[in-house]
Amino acid sequence: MKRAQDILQSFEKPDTVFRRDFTVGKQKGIMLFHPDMTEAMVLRSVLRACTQAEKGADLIKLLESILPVSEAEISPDTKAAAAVLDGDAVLFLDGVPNCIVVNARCWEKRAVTEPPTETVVRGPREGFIEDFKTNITLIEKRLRSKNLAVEKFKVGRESNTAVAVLYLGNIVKKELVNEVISRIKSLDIDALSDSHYLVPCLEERPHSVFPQVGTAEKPDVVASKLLEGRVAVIVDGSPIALTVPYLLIEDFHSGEDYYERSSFATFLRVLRLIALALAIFLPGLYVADLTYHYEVVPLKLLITVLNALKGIPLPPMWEILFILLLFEIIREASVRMPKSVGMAMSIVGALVLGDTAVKAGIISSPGVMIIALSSIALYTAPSLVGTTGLLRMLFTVVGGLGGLYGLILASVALVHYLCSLNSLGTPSLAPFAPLVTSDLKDGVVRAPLYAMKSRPQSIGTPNKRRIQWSQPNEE
Amino acid sequence: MVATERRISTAQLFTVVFILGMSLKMLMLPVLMLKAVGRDSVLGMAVVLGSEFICLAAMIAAVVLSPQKSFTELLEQCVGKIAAKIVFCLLALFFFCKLLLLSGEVRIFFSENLFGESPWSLYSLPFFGICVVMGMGSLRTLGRSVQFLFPFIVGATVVMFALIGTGVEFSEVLPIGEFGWRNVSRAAYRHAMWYGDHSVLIVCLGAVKRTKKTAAITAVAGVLSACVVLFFMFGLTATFSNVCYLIRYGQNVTGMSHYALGNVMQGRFDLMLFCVWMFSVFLKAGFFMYAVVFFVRAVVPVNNAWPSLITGALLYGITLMITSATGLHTFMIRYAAAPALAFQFAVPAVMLLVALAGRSKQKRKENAQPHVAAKDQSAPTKSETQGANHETE
Amino acid sequence: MKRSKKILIYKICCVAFGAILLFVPQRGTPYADIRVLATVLGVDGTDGNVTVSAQLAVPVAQGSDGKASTVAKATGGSIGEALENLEIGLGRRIDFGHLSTVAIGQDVLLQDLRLFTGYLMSSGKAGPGTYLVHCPQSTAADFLNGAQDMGESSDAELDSFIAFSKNGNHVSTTTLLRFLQALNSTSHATYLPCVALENESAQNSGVTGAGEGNGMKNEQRQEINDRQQEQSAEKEGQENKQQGNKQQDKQDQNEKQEEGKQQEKGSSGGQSKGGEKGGQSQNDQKQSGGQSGGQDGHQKKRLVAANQVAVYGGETPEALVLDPMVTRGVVWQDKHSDFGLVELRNMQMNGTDIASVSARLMGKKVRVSADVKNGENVLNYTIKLKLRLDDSQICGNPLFYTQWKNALEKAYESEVRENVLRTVQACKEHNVDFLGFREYFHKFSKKGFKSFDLSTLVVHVHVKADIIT
Repeated sequence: MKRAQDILQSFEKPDTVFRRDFTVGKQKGIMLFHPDMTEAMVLRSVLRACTQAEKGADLIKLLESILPVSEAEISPDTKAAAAVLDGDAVLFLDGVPNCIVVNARCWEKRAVTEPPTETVVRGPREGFIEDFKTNITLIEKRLRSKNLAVEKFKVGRESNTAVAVLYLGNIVKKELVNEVISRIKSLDIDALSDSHYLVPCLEERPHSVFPQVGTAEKPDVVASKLLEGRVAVIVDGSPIALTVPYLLIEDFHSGEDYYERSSFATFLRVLRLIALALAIFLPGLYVADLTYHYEVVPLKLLITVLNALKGIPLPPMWEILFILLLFEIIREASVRMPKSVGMAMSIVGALVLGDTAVKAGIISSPGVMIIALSSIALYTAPSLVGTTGLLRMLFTVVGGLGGLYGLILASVALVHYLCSLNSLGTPSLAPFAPLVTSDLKDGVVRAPLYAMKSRPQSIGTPNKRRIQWSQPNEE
Repeated sequence: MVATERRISTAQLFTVVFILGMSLKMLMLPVLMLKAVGRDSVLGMAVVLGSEFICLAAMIAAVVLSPQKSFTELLEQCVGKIAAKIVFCLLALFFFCKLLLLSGEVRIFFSENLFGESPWSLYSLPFFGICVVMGMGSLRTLGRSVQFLFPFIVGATVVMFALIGTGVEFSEVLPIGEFGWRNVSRAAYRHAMWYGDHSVLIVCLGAVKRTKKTAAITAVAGVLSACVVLFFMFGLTATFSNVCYLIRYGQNVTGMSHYALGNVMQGRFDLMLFCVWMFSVFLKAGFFMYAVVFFVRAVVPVNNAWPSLITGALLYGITLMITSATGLHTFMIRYAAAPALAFQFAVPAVMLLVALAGRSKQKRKENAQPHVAAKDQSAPTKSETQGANHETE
Repeated sequence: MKRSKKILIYKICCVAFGAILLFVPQRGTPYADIRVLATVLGVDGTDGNVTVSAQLAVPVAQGSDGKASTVAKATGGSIGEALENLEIGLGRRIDFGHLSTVAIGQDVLLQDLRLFTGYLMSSGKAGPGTYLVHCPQSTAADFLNGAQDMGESSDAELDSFIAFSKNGNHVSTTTLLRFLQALNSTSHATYLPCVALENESAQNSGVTGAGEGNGMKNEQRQEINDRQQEQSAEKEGQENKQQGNKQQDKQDQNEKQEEGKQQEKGSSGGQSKGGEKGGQSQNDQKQSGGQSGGQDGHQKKRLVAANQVAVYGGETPEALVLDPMVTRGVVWQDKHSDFGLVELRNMQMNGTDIASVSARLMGKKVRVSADVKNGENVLNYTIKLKLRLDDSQICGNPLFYTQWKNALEKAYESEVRENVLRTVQACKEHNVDFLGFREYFHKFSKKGFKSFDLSTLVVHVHVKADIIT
């Protein structure tokens, strides 16, 4: 059959794809499939069914009555090559236009486990994996609604990576969906290795240090975000889903907040905010006070710190930057280190920094303490670690060069910059700036579930009502 | 592109008015007034605030009554392009001088309190840099910045209130009236450049998402900021009534908070509070810069960063030429008082007239075309409704 | 201009600016090694020959044997020059951000004091809330040296003693700003508290601290000295025991009360046990100002503070030191002193003689009104006191609520009234308006201000005491 042959010849190495001839009655047929990506049992059952088919059966009859597979469809010949590369088996019948694409995909994938960056004490522990279908299924399992739309297409000239855009049609703003899809489709790239490759086309300021696209590794989080009127993007081969629009306050929320009591959840959120503020500002404040503003520090504390700084060869700013550098080196090395030497090297790192360097008088113990506290506090918002790490370095330099004046200026500049950031039309600092009072129930404070009756207005969903809850009367 | 709301909300306007009413008047002005008329500086400040409130009322009326068009458009419709451009030049110059004065105040405060020896010529660069960036931005971003930082500023103000309120002996303000109304008025007049900051609301004309409560809420903001300023003036006067010759120029609120703090062994956390309060000063500088760029663009219609950059460069150049910050004070007191006073009253008056003229013109247009469905004055335009309904009161 | 190009320009500008800042000469920012903190400043001399001394906190490396605080002295033609010479002599920059106290030497005249304090405030070296004290028996430099010794022996610094006195005892304190405000008011006079250090083992007859010249009898004084020596010996014997003994604290308190009854000190916080009380309240392990130090060979010092005040103003340029009885009246009318121990002595209640009754002042409100009545300038003091009785023997007595409470209240009211009137009399006798009467009229009664005459001023004192238990 010429068309099957043409398809084979279009491959760089035609013998990558296997060909299996069969007959349906007296009609000849060809099945093309990729041996590494298909399941043999499915192929066998397809072939058996085809060979046992009645004489004169066409594609439709074959599809509807004969083929004992759930996922099969008639497709034009132009999609045959892509289907073979996707792991489908393609059936051609001589003299019949089009072909049948049968889902015979089978490859190794890892189990659904808890993602490492979004661990919870309470709540679901499923996380996305690299398999496209599994990821979509995990979300569909949670939102068994007719309104859940999954728009699939391929991105990448060479990779033809499957990308899915998910949204709830009765909740989301339609123009948001159109905007997301058009931006993704307009991306002309050779391969899409991870969902992060799509981020620059979804952001208004891709050069910015601050994210404008949200990420999630758990299906319950993505489902919640879809219910708020957001759009999710799943990329084949990536365990991280993207969600837009993005609000900066999201990164201070955890999925677990909604599985805990509201008061404790509120406390945790406030704690995260305080921790992050400490992480960013504490080194800068420390440097500014010790360089320019002794009078701000209480006397006893000041004397203690000055005693500790006595004999240190570096001025406070350089000392803190040096300690920061050491910490970052240790952190980066610990991520990449083989597990077999990890423990030993961690001890060396801790001893070198924590003990030896301080005793040698190269760095001071208050400095180590400040940076240690700051580094730990950074991880209260793990998705912002990169951003906040850079910010604290910037504030350290600013504090060392400009003191409190520099810190104030830098803070104003930072806030002004954040206020100018939008994520597909939604201000990043919402619901605080602009103030959306109805959304404050799920901002820093996590109001009880019965109080969160409406969806977030910051995102601008037309379907506002979320919960209709009447509390039982107390007796 | 998903559209967004481009106007500022009433809540943002509240925060803007509050900050505009407060910042510059709490830096050196109380000290200058105190050195000029002693205890009667409280009366002088009350006079100043009273006149400001009248002007604010006119501006609020203009914002509420105007059609959804900017001041530049309305003025051009009223007086023609050439006359309008002359007015824009004057306004740009006025706000430029305000910004220059503000930068001088910041310089004095930091060089007296925090930086004894550092060269302002170098440290002013980031300040002007931020002003340039704010000038290039949009009113919406400025409004959001003010709204975001507002709780911190108010928090710091309230804590300082409590600190000063409990630590200062307010009876030291007495007796008032020793200098007489003439001297008080003269002192108020000479320092005219330090007030009338609400004039910058002229750039908000046609850019506010109005509701029925916009006027009331904005007026409340004006009253509150006036109360804050008056309270701090009282406190400073009470603290230094007999020793005003000793106040350093950089002391202002920090002088009395330092006194109220008493024992310094716990550290000068009042300075930290004041530094948080200083956010309002930098935001105000951003507003002034935005206003200058707004009017420069109205004169020379360019839509890029050059007006802001040139303004920033000019500011820096002039700052370098002014070797002493108190020299700037002298200049402003001697030469800029009369024009500043004129502007303080003229700007709201022109704003109100222009708004009323625009409104009546629009009404005439609607009446002349009765078959066209009349649009509600306060309703946003089509492009604005397409945007997300982000902002509430 | 493209956005990416703009961002690149921003980044280059920031880096260039940072690099410029790094190389600016002021980048030689003083490190911890070349800065010291001044906590107390002493000023002596006169304009033209000014001596300043400062108690400095010097950073020392941990584990080092170096001294953590020291006293340095310098002289100059003016106070500014003297401070500059101080820095030159030390070879370090002095940071005055934590300056808590300025001590004025015994010989400083009014015009010089005005100059010195004015300079300190206007230059920003001393904040408006800095305490101001007067050394009536020594130069400020000697006082600071003594305070340094006391600090070494008691591990408590002068500023903490003064702060403790201010917050915990019924004494009069003043700040730089309040002093200058009063001095520059229409009264042209004011007072500041006196401080002195005396030797722990001194016989007290020759060497009197500020707290001793209070008119008590010699026998009583001898009794006190004997008691003190006994107590010192007792405490030295107990130095090896655990200091965290509650009985030790109780014993000290009882002794203090008994001492108080003997000494007729009333409301002074600078009593002989004041330093010890302060030291022990901080750390049970610490020795009080009177306890240790002798072992090292240094003379033991204790702070005796604030039951005398020095008055500046009037016709004489020198300070006029008021005696403790008059000082008490000053303290009573001072609304800033509203806490501390107050005593009544030699009372009779229901036929019973009571040597002394101690009460803790829990709050004081002082209102002053100035008016002209019948052609006379009349000043009314209204003092409201809230007192808490410590003595459970009195409080627990069944007669307390029916009879004794009223009597005690009346006794306190009478005592306070007499003290204040005595002070007013002293004002008139010395013809120095250090209580600020004229200023009251200036504020509240223009008519009275115009016709003000200190000698003919009528002062009424109304006191209302309320005892709670």
